[in-house]
Amino acid sequence: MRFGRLALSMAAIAIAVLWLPRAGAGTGTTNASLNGPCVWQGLYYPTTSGDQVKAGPVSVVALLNFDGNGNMSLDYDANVNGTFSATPNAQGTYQVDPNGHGTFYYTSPASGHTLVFDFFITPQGHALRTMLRSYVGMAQALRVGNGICRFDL
Amino acid sequence: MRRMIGLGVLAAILMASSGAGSAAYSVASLNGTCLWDTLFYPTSAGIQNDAGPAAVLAPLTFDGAGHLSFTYDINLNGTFSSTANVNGTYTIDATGHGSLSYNSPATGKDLIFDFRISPNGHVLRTIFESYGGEPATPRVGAGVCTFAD
Repeated sequence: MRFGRLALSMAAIAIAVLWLPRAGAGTGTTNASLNGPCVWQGLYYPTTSGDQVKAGPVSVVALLNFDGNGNMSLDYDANVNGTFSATPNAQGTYQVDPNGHGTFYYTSPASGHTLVFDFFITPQGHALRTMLRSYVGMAQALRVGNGICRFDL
Repeated sequence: MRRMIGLGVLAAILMASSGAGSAAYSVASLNGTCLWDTLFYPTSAGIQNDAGPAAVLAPLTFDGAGHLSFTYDINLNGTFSSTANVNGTYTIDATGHGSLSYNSPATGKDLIFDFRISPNGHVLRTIFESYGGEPATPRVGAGVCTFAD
């Protein structure tokens, strides 16, 4: 009987621990809060003005790896307006503020453009919600889109 | 008896973790912060015909009493901006169907979004409902606001 109560208590504690925020999504997040791989999927639509008007849509699936110290690498597959390509080992950097809000940058080996993404860590820290923010050196991003990078699924 | 209390604690933990989930909803069902991620496409007619797509990321904080506050980041047809300290209101009926509204500091327009709470209460799914009383919204979009992810 005592063992039964103990097991129940331990189960309750374990469930409570599992539901605690992981990557520190609420407050106090730092670059160290992102450490490890997540799978990223995003979909982007062309703008109706700017450098590549109506350039066609893009979808991306990628493995992102954060080192906990502001550096990241990614292997990404992209379909750019109907044409598929795979790009291994692109390098980037990232920064996270104390509110779970951040940015990451990487340079596309194919185009030479450096892309900037805005992101928020989800409330439980299981994923990043991302949005294309800008291209370095360009007045306007070529496309508009968002994505999710999951650490858990 | 102690076993019953233990089971009660376990049930309470599971219910607390589910965010907004409840059989009969009210404004009190939304209390806390969810991360809103939404993508909009331009309409092919109306006040901003072919105005380009837009994406928004925003942590929405609900107070459980019909008010919300947030900061939002937006990529509007290729141009990024961030807007802080936006306040709004929300309503919700007993089935988990509701709407949230706020006045856009950028345009001065009142925006209204329709939403439904997911069955487990972890997510709001939103669509654009109204833009400044205009006959049509300038864009059509679908979003998700996640409490437990």
